[in-house]
Amino acid sequence: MRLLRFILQRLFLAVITLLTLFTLTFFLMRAVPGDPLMRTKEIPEETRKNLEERYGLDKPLHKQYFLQLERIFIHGDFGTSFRTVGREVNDIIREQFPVSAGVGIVSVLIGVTTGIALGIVAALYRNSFIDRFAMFLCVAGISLPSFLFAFIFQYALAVYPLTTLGFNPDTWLRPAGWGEPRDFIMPSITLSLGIIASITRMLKSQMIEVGFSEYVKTAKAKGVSLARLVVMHQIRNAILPIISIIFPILVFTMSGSLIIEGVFGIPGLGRAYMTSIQNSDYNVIMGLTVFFGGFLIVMNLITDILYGVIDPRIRVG
Amino acid sequence: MKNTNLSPHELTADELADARLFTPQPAKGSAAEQLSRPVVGYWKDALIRLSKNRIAVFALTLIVSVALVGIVGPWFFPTTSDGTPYENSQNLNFINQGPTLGKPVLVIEDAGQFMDDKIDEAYDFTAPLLKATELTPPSGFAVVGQATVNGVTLSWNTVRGVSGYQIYRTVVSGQPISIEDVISDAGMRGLQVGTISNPAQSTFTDGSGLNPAEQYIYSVVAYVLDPNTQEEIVSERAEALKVSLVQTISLADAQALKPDAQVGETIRGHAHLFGTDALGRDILARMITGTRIDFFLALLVPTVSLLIGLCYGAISGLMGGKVDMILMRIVEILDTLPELLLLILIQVALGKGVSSLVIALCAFSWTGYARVLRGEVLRLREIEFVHASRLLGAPLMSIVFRHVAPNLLGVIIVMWSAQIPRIITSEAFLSLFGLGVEAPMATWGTVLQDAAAHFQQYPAQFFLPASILAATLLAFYTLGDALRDAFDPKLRGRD
Repeated sequence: MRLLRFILQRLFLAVITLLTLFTLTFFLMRAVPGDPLMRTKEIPEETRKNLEERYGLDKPLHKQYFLQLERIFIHGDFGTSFRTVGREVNDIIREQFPVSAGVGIVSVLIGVTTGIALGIVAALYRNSFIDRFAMFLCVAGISLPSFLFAFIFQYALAVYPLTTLGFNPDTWLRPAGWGEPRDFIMPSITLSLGIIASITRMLKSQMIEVGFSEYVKTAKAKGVSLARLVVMHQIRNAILPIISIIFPILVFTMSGSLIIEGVFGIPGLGRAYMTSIQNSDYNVIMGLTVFFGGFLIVMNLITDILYGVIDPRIRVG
Repeated sequence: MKNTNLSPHELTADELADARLFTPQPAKGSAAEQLSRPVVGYWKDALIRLSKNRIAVFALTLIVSVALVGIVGPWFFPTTSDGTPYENSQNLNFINQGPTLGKPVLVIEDAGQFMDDKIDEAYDFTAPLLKATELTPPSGFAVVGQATVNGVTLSWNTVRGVSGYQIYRTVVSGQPISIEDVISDAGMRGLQVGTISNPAQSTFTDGSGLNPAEQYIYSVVAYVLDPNTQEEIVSERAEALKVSLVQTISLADAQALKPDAQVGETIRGHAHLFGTDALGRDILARMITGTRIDFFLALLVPTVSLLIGLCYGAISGLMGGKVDMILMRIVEILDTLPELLLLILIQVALGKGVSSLVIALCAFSWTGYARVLRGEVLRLREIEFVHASRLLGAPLMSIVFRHVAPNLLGVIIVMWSAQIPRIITSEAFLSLFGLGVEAPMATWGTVLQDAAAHFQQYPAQFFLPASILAATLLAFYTLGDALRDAFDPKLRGRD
């Protein structure tokens, strides 16, 4: 019963957040000087009237607001691009979101597995070479923006080997391009660095803290073997809080991908977003923001509920 | 003292009169109570801990020097002839240069003044057109004067019986081309830069798109127009020569460097420690000026968000009840919004510029302060020493300033310093999106954005400024960590 109440409460909050996001986006886009059709090429008066009628641009602001609200949330229709004729925002999402999601999933997989492994090893062998390396990685991965790594990898892994070392451009990594499995490598490594950093850092401190706890002492006193102690007692408990940082990690990966897709020429949502901003394509900006933001909010909701199910203490607060 | 009976009893009148009974007990300080070292307060303690952290001291030194260079540096920039600030002054003869301490440059009167094309007055127009097999390239192909980035003037001896000449140019760097290749192979001649349809003309000046960093091979061929098809038939072989460009500087700019500079003299040009960008602007100068805006944002934005968060958190914590609940729900909702997307949206809505950057960056960054400071206010409101001073009748202001504020300051400084590197990163991020400040203005982000456009060709233009950015971010980050350790010793050694 309490769990249900908790879930409903979170759900309610998520809906409010989504509405807030929509409202903010709507009014921010309307605050831009000029109307959305202003920068399109010269169009006949009649066409303009038709377009205005179709998108409800001739109606008062509050009516536009509710019309758009209805269109997006009831019909799931994000509208049409004002720059590219006939380009539906829904199509952009349908075509480009899977690309971003693919890169995102691969990087999260690489990041989480590497991060967990590094975190455990760093905690078990403190002050060893691996520990120092892991800590260096953590500081760099957390404090430096991901686009820096994107450029470093692009130069070190693709541009330099191709131009100076004379590697074969047909088989070696391409600086930018999309469509082949090898094109996944650089963006995924870049995006996974931040994930590795945050997971390693958190897991290491958790492992050390758990290592001081009474039940680990008891297990040691009982004579439990080291392997069993680490796997059954330490890791199990240390890994729990990782769930709570999955959402920040996703946000990190997704927002990082906004620029990284541009650097590596990946036709994902991030690049669509960047293009729409450069073209001032307001309908696309709005649609992508609501979709992208909505996706992150839903992810947050899932994380919250998941964590509430696993750890009963969360529900009370 | 007459009465030595010390058992409890009513005081007699005698005893009451004896004032000696009521003298205060002399203090008997035991050795354990003696202070063995001077009293160190919270702040002094934090300062001592911070100064013992060598990495933090190094980071602080680095940050202070970057800030100082940013403040003082622009005062020492060279003056420019047209009065634009040095970091914005473009020099198209110096585009995309690598790091240099000052290359030799030729002083010229004024860029862009070419000599008129020379016409051979004695040319015999009556000679019959040559057949394709008889065509030979013009002899005596040479560079006239200095080949500069402003223009390369070529001359040759005219050939009788042709319709004109064609000039080609190819870039040497990066590909193994020799002059012989160009002479014999028409496919290697590269870009056709000129067609001269007057066979009496014996010079040509190529002045478009020359890159001072490159070496070129120029070649010339003669051609005849087929009278029937109007087709240009060119000689099979060409005359070719290799040209390295000399960089030039206008007299006015040269005199700013060396007052007695003369036209035709070669002097040492400006040093560009980080090289120049695609518009020939000094990258280091742009970074130094950019420091001002970046550090201005990095100090102002956390301060503004702190003030908003402090007021919000204090109201929420002190009012309590329904107000508290509603205010905190709002913070919760704002926290769940994707901050970066809204940052971009606000910047799109407000347009480029420093003030809109401040608004965009402040808009959502205060929630963290509000949440933490509300918690602190709640904690401090109920803490014993605050109760005690209230009981003692201390005025509210004295409670706030003597007890609450000092305890908040540690938390505030830690949060405030942790936000600084995030602001610098956000600025760079927005600039890479093309949403930073207006065009000629320099920030670290815009320098990176300019370099990112042709990153694969000129990686140094990106990596040199990026290393400054990275070093500064790392310094702020480690300093923030050290401050947290210093103000909260319990946290020391954790992660």
